[in-house]
Amino acid sequence: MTFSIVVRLLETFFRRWYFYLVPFVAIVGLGLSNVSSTPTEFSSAGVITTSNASLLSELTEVGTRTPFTFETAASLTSRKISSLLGTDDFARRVAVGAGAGAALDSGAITLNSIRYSIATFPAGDELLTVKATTISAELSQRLAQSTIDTYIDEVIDVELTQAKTAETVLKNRLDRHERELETARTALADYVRENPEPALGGDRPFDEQVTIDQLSSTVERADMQFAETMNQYEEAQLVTEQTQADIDQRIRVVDPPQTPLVPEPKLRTTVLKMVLFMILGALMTITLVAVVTALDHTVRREADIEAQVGLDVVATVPNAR
Amino acid sequence: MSRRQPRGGKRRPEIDLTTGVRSDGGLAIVEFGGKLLHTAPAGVTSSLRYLLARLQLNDPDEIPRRLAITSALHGEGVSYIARSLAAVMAHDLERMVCVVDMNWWSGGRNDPTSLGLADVVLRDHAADEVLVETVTENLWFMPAGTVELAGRPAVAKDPRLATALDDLERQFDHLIFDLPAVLATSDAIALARFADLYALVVRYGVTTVAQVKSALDELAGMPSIGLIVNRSDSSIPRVVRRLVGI
Repeated sequence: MTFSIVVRLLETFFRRWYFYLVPFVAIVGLGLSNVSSTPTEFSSAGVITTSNASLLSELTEVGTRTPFTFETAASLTSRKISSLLGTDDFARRVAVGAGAGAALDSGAITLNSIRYSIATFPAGDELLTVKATTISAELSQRLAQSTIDTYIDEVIDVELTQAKTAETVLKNRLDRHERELETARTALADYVRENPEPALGGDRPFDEQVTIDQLSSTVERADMQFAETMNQYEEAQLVTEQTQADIDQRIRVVDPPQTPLVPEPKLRTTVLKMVLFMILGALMTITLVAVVTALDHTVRREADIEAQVGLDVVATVPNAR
Repeated sequence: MSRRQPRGGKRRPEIDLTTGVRSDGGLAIVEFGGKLLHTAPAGVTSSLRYLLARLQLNDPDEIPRRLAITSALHGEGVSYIARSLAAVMAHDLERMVCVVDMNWWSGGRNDPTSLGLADVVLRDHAADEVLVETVTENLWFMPAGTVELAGRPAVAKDPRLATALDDLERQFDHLIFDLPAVLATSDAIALARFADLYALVVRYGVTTVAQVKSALDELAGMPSIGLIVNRSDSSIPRVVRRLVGI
């Protein structure tokens, strides 16, 4: 059965091989045109170290808690950057950081072209290479640098948000308590000034003494609240600083991207592209041959017709006229 | 006495117009007087010799006295196969063979002025008047003659046709009937019943399996020697065929 199909496919192909080779030749031609029109490209790569935990985070329990995974920190970060590049916001920030914001706004480049020009790949468990490839050496360097910077900013932004929010809330509360303390102190001082202590060491009247005790108690309570809030505020500030330090320890730029001096070698890309185009062309030709064969129900092989009609082929007369 | 070859190009085989034998080993049917009726190259005659050998495998007298050649569709090469087979039989077996053209539907081929089987059946001509003698010893040719379109179904069922064929059978060892296409006219079925066996010609790369099945359904109940695949022409290069094992 399979043999019969193969023979029929071959028969179909060789009957009008020049026709079936048209899509193949067209696609390969397209590939040649594509390869010849591909401009020279420059690549710039930077290397960063990433780790799931820092010494500081282990000592202080500050920082992002990464669930247990077999994935290395580098591959995790690589995946994160790729995912982030998928978002318009991140891609735009990268472009703006690389000084390509105006080109993006004018439509000279697109977010997709930014995405396609950036690649990340792990170079070990903790080392990650961020590579940018464009037709401009300077732009490649700026894009790679911007990708690294934008990613670090993103991590800082995400991880510091909680600490910063707590700090802001506590600062507002601290200001309020400070004002309350000041008000209580002023009220006590004013009352004492308005009601001076009796001369000759006599006792204050009972109602005065009660009022002074109440005002003193208010001052004391406000003072305690202020002190407690001040303590919390300082703790929040510490956490912010620790988080910042933790991120600095976890993500460090080892090799910043440099401006490339020589373009990328084109041979490998050219060969790869041509092979891909040839495979595509061959697939189209095979598909065309298969479709034509499927639609061709004419008698081609003795064995086929014998099997299908149940009658022997007693002679096969060649086309020898 | 032979035909001159054109200058340049591929050299064409010469035909001996006195014997009907081609220089490449093929055969030709040549009317007395030099008119070439048919020619079959060596490749064609060789294939038909295989057919005869298969038929004679068990019994040398196995070849039917009346063999009908037909097809599913018009233009599949029935006349070509019938004449080539008759030439091979007459030449190789040295038996009296007559090709009986019963295809009145093939109007362009039949000379309206020449006599044929139709004249024997409908106009009381003697068979000897219409039989065409060829230079090949033992090989005779009976043209179809002309019959009006409306009259053809009647001829196929005319008892005088049966009588004429019986008379021919007495004169010849083998009658090869050249019949119209089965799916083109129902008369082909009626005409095929005058034969002992029939062979269905199938044109390679043209006739579909469904058409072959339909034709065989029409001829159901009649004994057949099998199918003859005509104009077989594989486009696969020899090198590829050898590689694939075809």
